[in-house]
Amino acid sequence: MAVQEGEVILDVQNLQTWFLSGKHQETRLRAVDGLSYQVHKGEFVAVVGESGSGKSVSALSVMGLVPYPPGLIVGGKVLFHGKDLLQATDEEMQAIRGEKIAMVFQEPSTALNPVVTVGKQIAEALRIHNPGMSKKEAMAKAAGLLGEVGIPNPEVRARQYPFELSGGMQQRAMIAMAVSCGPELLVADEPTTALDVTVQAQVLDLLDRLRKKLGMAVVLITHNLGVVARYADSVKVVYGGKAVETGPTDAVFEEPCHPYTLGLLRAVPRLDLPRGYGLHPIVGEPPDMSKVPEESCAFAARCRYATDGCREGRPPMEEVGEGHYCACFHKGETLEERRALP
Amino acid sequence: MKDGAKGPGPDGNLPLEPPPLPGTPDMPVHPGIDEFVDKDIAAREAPEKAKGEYIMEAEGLQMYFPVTKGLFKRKAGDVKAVDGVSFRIRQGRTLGVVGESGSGKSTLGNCVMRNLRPTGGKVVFDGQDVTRLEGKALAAYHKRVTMVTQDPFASLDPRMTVADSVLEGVRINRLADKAGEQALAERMLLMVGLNPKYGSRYPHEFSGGQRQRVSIARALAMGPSFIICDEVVSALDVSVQAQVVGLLQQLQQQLGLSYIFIGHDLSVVRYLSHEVAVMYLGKFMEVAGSDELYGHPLHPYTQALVSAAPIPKPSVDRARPRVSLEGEPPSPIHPPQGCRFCTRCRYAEKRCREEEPALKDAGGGHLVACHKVTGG
Ligand SMILES: Nc1ncnc2c1ncn2[C@@H]1O[C@H](COP(=O)(O)OP(=O)(O)OP(=O)(O)O)[C@@H](O)[C@H]1O
Ligand SMILES: Nc1ncnc2c1ncn2[C@@H]1O[C@H](COP(=O)(O)OP(=O)(O)OP(=O)(O)O)[C@@H](O)[C@H]1O
Ligand code: SF4
Ligand SMILES: [Mg+2]
Ligand SMILES: [Mg+2]
Repeated sequence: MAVQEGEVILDVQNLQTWFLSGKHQETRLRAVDGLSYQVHKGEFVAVVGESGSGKSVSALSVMGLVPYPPGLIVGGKVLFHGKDLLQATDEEMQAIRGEKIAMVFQEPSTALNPVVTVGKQIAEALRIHNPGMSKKEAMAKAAGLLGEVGIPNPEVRARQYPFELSGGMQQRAMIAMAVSCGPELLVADEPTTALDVTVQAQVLDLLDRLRKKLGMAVVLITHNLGVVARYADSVKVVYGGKAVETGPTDAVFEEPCHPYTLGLLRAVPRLDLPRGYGLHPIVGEPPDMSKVPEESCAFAARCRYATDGCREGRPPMEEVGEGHYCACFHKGETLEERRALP
Repeated sequence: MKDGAKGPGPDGNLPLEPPPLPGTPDMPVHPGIDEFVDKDIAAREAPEKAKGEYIMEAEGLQMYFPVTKGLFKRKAGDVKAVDGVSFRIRQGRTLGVVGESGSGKSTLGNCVMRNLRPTGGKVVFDGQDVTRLEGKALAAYHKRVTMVTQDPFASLDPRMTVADSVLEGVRINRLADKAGEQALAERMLLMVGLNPKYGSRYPHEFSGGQRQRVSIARALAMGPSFIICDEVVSALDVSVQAQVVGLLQQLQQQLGLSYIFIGHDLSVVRYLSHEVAVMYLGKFMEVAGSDELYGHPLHPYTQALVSAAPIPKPSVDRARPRVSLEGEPPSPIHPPQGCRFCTRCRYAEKRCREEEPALKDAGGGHLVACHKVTGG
């Protein structure tokens, strides 16, 4: 995929979100620690990284949904069409959420109200953002949306409760609700992790189709590197609360320059290679985010290429190819290792 | 591949047999690949090298759940969750089970584990039919066959220390004295790569991967020879998943354990399994050696599953054929007549809707239940 050219709609700059705890708020867990990235109009962006690396918190920060206390955005900017969302009032944010930026969560059961029919929930969401719409009109539109996301018999399904739908159908209903107001940006936090491969493929194909049809950008948070390879235009690899490598998916996956990116790629088995290939865990544990030293590469403790230089200074983000950036002092070694692998 | 296994190329459609994958004899891969492939796995691959006896044999295993209706709980039908499944597993080897949600994988595991009492068929473990065991005999079986499930939160009691959780079964069965217990708990934790001192901690103090190790330690404490793993790595991130799969494999090599490994990530299931069974609506549709199944999937359903699983290398993934699978599986209360897959199969014809295909050898022990593949 080529380097993105469209307009930048979301520009996250040096975002920092901490969780404070202890008697005097002295323990600072730096969940997001200087994360920067851009999303272009209609782009499919993937965010990957180990559990606890700050993927969900960064998404919540963009949506203005970080729980306070203990969470606090202590720095950075989230520019949406140039406007800093971190400075927006609650009312402004409420208007933006749903209408301009929508979010889909991993667990549909936590986001769908169990005692309201699926159609009614979507209809209500529609009416919040379109006060002029009648109930009847909204219900008809809701059923239409359910049909559009591939749910058979949408009129019947619209009158059912969430528990009457399978996991995959619930997730599709969530997506129908999220796209009901035609947002410009959809943030999806592991929307398919709980689903099996065929339903996962159906849901992601749906997201991809909707994005093309509506010109909507998608930020997909996922553990599944295969999904990233198949669907994403670009990928952000996050470690210790910041992006360590970003760029077009092809460049990052075929020619990774960060040892952590390569570590993730080597941890997954590959269906296309003989059995026995892959599954090399990344040594050590993810960092304790309240203790990451500020003046070193966060990955140094687990990195096979780490030298004293890595422990004494933070590697800057540098361009290694068109639109491909990486923060590491030993990019060459990593790339060489990658090239030797199938 | 054996000649008999070649599927007839259906007209105009995608070939029933997808192009060979790299790594199979038809298409050698990257020159230096050997260096990166775990040789132990390859060595255990060849069936003739498997000296182990069959430790578990299931025949016609069936689990129907009654569905009731109305005020008087009139029986309205059955959920045919497992509907006539047969398999054999050798000692020290793994049978992988894959299939969509609701296909009956967990029910199968629970029947073998005897958490459920199957409504039909038998499961012979080490020469004994275990489907009707009760009381003491069942307890003895549960020392030899144990189970690990997906959610370590659900399987570990948050108010119990990790050592107490590990020892729970051992205590119920009075397998060790007080002094022995402590040593046993420590040994089990060490075996799964945890610090033995962690025994006094509580589950919430551990990460997801560590908790999954604790539940494996718990399953090992009884000294089993067979473990049923139901989606044990599905909720873990890629690196931790690699650790846990590596651990299961190492335990198999050291202790000669046999596994049923249930999962929906095909690449992980294939990595750990010697043989893989593909389940659909309570039945096995295809059973074959792991590399054979993924290199030459014969059943249209397996082909769709394999093609739905993306490969984390964009250039390779784009070059693969996509066979998409639309819709949802039908209800297991009223499975379709004929072949259960016929409502979603792109090759379905008259015969498929009338007559149920049997699971037949398509050559070299590659079993498949499809009229198109095995013909008359
Ligand atoms: N409400 C909270 N209070 C305190 N700490 C939190 C809270 N939410 C998240 N954290 C911490 O912030 C860090 C980043 O968490 P986050 O949920 O963003 O990780 P993630 O990358 O989404 O992981 P996963 O892949 O497991 O979802 C973690 O160390 C987590 O423990
Ligand atoms: N105790 C029960 N009573 C009635 N029906 C049941 C029971 N347990 C399972 N079922 C049904 O049996 C079928 C198979 O369920 P099972 O949990 O074995 O599927 P699975 O393949 O493990 O799915 P998943 O991938 O979602 O875990 C489903 O239709 C399910 O609703
Ligand atoms: S900067 Fe150093 S420690 Fe960090 S990833 Fe690169 S080589 Fe490893
Ligand atoms: Mg998360
Ligand atoms: Mg299950």
